Amino acid sequence: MTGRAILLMIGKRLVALVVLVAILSFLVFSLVHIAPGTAVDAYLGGKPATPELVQLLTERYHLDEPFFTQYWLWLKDALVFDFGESTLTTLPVTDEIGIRLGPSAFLAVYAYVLTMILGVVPGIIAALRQRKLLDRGLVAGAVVALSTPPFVMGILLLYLFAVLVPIFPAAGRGEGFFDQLWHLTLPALALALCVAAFLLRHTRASMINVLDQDYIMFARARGLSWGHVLVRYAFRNALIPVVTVSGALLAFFFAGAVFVEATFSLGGIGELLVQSAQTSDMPMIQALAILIAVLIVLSNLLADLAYVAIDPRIRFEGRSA
Amino acid sequence: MTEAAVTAPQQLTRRRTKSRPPLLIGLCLGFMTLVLIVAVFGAALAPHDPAQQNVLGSLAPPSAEHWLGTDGLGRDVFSRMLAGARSAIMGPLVIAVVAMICGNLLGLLAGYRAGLVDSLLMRWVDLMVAIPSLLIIIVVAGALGGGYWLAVALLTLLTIPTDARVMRAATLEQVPRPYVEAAKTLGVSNGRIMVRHIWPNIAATAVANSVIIFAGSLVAIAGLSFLGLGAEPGTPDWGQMLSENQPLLFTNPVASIAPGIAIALTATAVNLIGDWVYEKMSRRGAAR
Amino acid sequence: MTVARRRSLALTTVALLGAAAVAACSGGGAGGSAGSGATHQVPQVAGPGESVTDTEIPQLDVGLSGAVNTLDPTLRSDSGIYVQPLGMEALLRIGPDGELQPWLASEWEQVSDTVYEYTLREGVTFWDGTELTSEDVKYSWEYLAAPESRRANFYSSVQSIDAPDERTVRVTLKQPDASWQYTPAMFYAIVFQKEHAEQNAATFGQPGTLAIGTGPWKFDSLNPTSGMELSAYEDYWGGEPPVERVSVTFFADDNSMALALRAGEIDIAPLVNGPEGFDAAAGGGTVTTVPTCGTALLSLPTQTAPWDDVHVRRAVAYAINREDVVAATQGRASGPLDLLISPILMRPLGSDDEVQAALDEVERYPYDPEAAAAELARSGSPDGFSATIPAYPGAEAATQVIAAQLAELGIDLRIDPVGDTEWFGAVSGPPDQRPLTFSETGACSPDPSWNDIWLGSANLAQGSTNVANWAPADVDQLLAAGLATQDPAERLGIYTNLLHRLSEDVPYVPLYAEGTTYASTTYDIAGYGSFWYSTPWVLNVVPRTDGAS
Repeated sequence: MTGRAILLMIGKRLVALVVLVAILSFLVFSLVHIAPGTAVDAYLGGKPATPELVQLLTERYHLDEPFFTQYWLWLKDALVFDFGESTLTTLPVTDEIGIRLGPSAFLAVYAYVLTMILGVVPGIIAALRQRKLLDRGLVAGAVVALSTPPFVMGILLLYLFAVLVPIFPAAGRGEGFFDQLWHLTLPALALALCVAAFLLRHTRASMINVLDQDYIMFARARGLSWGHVLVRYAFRNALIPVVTVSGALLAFFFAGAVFVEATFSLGGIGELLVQSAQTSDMPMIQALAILIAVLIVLSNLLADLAYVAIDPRIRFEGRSA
Repeated sequence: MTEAAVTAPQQLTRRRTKSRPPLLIGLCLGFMTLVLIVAVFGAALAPHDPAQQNVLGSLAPPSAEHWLGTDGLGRDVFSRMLAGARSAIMGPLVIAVVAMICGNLLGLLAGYRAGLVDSLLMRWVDLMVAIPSLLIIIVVAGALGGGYWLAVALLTLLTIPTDARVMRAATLEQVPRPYVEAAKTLGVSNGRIMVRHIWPNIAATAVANSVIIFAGSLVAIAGLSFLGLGAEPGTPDWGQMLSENQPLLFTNPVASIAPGIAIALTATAVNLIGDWVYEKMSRRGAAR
Repeated sequence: MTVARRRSLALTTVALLGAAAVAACSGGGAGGSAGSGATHQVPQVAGPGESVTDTEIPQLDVGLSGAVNTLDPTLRSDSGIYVQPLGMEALLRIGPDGELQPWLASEWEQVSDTVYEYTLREGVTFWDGTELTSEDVKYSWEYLAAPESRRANFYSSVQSIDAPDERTVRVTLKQPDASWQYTPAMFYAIVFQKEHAEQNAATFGQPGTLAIGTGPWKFDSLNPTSGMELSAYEDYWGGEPPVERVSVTFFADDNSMALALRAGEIDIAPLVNGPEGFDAAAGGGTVTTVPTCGTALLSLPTQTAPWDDVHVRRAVAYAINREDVVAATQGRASGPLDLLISPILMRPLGSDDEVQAALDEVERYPYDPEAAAAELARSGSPDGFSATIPAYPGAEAATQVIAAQLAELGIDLRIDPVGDTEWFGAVSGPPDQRPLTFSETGACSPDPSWNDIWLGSANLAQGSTNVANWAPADVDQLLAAGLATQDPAERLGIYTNLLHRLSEDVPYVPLYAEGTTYASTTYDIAGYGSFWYSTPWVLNVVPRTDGAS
């Protein structure tokens, strides 16, 4: 694939991203508009207020303007990266997200690393021990883990390792690197296991497929050591499909994080997303939706680029069916 | 050549691959039958009224009277587990069936006719890939206040395109085959070719895919109830019990653990059945 | 568990939490308590500005459920109201028996029906050393009273706030308002430095700017997602406080806070939403609950069929078994209550005997299934009916209990779980669409007029909370009369009449006296009660001497 083709692909994706964000922001805006209760209701919180305050807040959030005017007023500011202030907390949206991004990113990276370790390594082992007891055990475990969603896994881990044998904290996210690592181990595991099981099956299938290939047999026939063959030929080729899949993991993590953050009281981005939806916090939910869309699209793009880098044979034809 | 002749390959293969399911799958099928029976007769089988509160007898540990103890309002956890099978199964069943019908129709249409339906479908799928559907549902249900049938409706709506994509790919594989050409030559109408000729050949994919959708929806619905965006409070529901009893982990942990295990076991059984159906189907494909 | 754990100020939740203890709260109207905290004597509060303990405490780790977004008292800020008064003080304090006591004001006087004068204490300084003047008070109160302020409704009867000299603050009311006397003692009348607030108008109270007050602890830093640091103000007018640093940690919910207490990460949680569940998770023996003047209630939409039939409403009132509702609150309630106006609020209106005699005359609706059935038989829907009841997150448990009890009467309630916002929108929306619903007030102010928020035509406006849509003309008159006079005997008569009218029409079914709960194994909070967070409450934190584990 030529450099120019790669640039073209990146360009196409970025244009698609802009279109996606535009559509998304309008859909989110419409959603907030039809949702029962307004930002003013959320802010007042059912407490008595003077009619003047109700009027002032209604004007501040432009709730008395026509639908499209309201959207335009938001869009105008968003175009210059001014996402406004949360209608619930009155703090700038970017500040609110900024403070929560750290812990959520820590959780995502931690879960990603765990997923890779718990997915790829056993996947390869299972493939090498095909149809042996270990393989069957791993595959069976993977099916169970794959069917155990993060919120169930979270409760189970919480009970086992924070209540029954209290070696990990049951809640909170900690301060400093090692404290965070300790606090986020159970949440990250809850998030990672399900995806790792998926990756394990994927890696195993891919590895078995590669091991069946002629070039492995030829390499062995040429007298190369088994270890050498594995490292030089098998791993590299087997991991290509794994890399493509790993780009899509971020999307899993975002959805899963909502549950895990709830279970372990982490107070991250996922919690903020649900809270802003429930409180009609339009500026907040818009900014979050855009952030998540951009992150997911960019990570998919990165995965595709990694795919190209690993496997130079690929002629990138743009979007395939 | 008659129309019946061109549909023949599919019927031939079915006979050849008919085999008894392995023990594990038998167990899974047995378990799912049990879950289905409980889902249908749930409340009638329960030793106690699942809604009967007894706030003075709350948080009792498991006993002969209450096998899984009682929850914060003194309700029998075991009875609620049995009654909860219904909402665990019913929604996903609706989703799987509706998504299968709509997804198959759209997939066939997109794969066979291409054109507008195809490109619209693919853009829809692109959107789903960009933002995970569960995330969309969480936001929409959160904004609209949640509710079981809202969750079911949203999930159905977002599952159809993914199902349609699978069916589209399967249809694309069939279109260049000689029997389709033959039917065309015989002047069979497009609609009839799609429904009577192509579909029977991709039916196995459709079924396997529906089983997987069922498992996915089961987990998704339970998750939405876990977040308080699914089942109404008070209705016995596994996902809801999981979260509403989470604070009981120190006093009656089984009240929260049991529904969690029920969700995981059911999903495992369905996934294994789905895998088995899929495997059977692809083996048949190879045999042809 | 719902994800959005942030609680509104008004309606902190009845989290459905479990507990080891059997949920059999005592039936007494006052003083019901849970946990071991009740077994030992908690000392009384000390004099103005003084700390209860003289034990040096290098650091007090405090846990709060819900974050502090800003220190600006005019904005909505979850748990902000609990930390603001540590640094920003009020002019007066509510004493143990509901009487007013001096704080930043050393003296005060009601000059006429509508004019109040406050004399500021000598030698009170802000953290930067400048002296507190009446201009600061005027500025703070006008800021709190401004139309865009979240607290404006507490100042609606204020005509003007003047500073005739450096030490005097004069408040002129538009018309007599008996409830004003308590306002200068409340968390919504705290004072901050005018100069600092003016210079930082755009970011006042926000994490980078914070606020400057006269209180015993200075605001050092604030991070809305993790916590807040405060340190002792050496030149505090009441003497250097014994607690050197206050470190506040925010928790997403009760459960995580309980686990932190169990792990020793925090010393005290001054406010717990679900006492029994918290106690179970925290390891037991941690919580102390005291009654407040708030009343939890079931509101019945009086203008909407079939609830517009008074017999239906009376049937409902008879059908409610308050003991079970109390038990379902898992320790939040301090005891059943069958009066809308808490007896605590009536207390200042006469001697105990006088108040008791007046309250004894009010007809009640005790739990009586037969009377309920008889009332329903007399109504327009003798065979019962179905209806929908929205429940906000956290109200599910109590709502489920109510639904189960009404089901026995033949009224079939479908519980509609709604988000906080939707619920707020419904209860304060168009009056004829306000729903049948359960609610807790979560707070109260120290005057019998507090419950006016549920009543009268003024509270039918959008954003107001006459949920029952109940505004007979004579009730409007009673509400006005209750505020127009300060004569206790006269007010006792007026509010007793109001209770009579409430019993007659049953727009609300009072359910229980709301409690407030703190949790600790090592400390107590002296003078803890309805208004604990209207003074720098850490001054009242005292190490436990007996029964400490």
